[in-house]
Amino acid sequence: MIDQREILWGVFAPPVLMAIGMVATAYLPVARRFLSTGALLALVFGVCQLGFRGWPLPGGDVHNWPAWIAFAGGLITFCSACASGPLMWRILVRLAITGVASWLLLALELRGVSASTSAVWVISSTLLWTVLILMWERAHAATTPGVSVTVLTTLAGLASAALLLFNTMNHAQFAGILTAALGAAAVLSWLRPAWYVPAGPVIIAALVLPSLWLLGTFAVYTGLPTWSLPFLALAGLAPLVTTIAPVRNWSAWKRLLLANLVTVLLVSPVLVWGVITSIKASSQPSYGY
Amino acid sequence: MHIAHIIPSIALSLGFALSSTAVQAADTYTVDPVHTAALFKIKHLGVSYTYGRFNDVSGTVAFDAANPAASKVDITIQAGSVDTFNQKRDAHLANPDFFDAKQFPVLKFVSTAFKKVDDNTFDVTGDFTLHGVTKPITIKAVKIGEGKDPWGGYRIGFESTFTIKRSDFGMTKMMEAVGDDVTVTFSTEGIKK
Repeated sequence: MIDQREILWGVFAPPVLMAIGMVATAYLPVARRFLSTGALLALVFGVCQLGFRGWPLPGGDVHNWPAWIAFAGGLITFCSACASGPLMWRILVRLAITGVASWLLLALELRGVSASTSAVWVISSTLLWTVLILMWERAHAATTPGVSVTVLTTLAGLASAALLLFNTMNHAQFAGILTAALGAAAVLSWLRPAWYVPAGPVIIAALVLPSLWLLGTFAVYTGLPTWSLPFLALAGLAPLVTTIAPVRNWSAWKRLLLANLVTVLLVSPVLVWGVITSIKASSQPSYGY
Repeated sequence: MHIAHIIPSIALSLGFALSSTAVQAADTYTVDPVHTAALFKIKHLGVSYTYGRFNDVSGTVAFDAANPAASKVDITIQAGSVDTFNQKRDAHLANPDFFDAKQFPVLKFVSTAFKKVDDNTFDVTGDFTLHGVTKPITIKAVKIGEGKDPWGGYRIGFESTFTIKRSDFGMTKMMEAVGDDVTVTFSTEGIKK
């Protein structure tokens, strides 16, 4: 029941392109020079989301912005000073991207609202989102690449499920694109750890996932409840659990399991509520399609 | 007849002629939402039709019986009022996968031409906006009737059935399960202003 374009760009292309890109950057010096793992993830997500949507031009449809936000995140990873330079510079770059992204993604919610109220919304979103990115970067830098990429993959997958439960199939499929790309990166990083550099993908995930959460909450008729956003945001910090003593001395697979379990636990209230509201709304039998 | 009587007679005649022309100019009717139905049906899995309606319709019809070409129709439907008798499906239909009602809150039809086919049938051409996309369509509108109501007003009724392809308007989700052709039946009663 899914059309071929969606299968191609939503299911097959993300892991295939990510894998090809990671192998290319491992073996081709030219590719390695220009494509970090983060830049590759940004490119794969952006291209696949735009392909999924039929190659729309920028603007016109708010649901196409995550691809361009990912591209902007890719530019951060491309610029080493922006990715890991002085703190103030890193903060300013992230504020700039989240500021523009917040303004674009909240536009529908702020229609007809006064300029001062709009400013409060956009500034609040910008600040909270920038803090989220910096905290996720810190949490994932403190753990191993394997834990980092699997937590991101798990979180993207659970976010996709949450968005689907709250009636936004498109956004769920976009999160699925990110899940598929990260999943390929996770598998390859297990086979060849040197191929995966976690710093960049964290930034991309910290830009794309909140974009989808904002769209899924504020750019839809009925979607994610607002209270779900802190739970989803906190789930990105799950790797921190692996830095606590005595966990930090556990074997690798136990730390991996624990971090992913914490991710699931933090997202579970959103999923449980999604299931409950789905059952309540479907007092008639399932309508299928 | 003396000239002193001719001029007033001419003036009176002109006055009657002008006033009768004014009575026959386009009469504007406000759509009565309680007696208006915006219905649609769409194929499900190719085996049956699923029906739905929009519960929030407004607009005006300016109808000139003597000169139908001067008539105008302007209808606005709130996309979020879609109702297919299933709350969960309605929430999904209003979301970005289908109508994307938050981004494209209204469906609109604004006529650009009104052509008489016979006394009660008219070809109405206009710009139809759905999902943020505007395309010209021509629909056949049938005048059901008109007349005074018990409350001192005057009413007129029209109905039209036409088919559009939702993919023409960028609504391409789940094309294998839910049909592309959407048959719309719009029946309205207008109250003269």
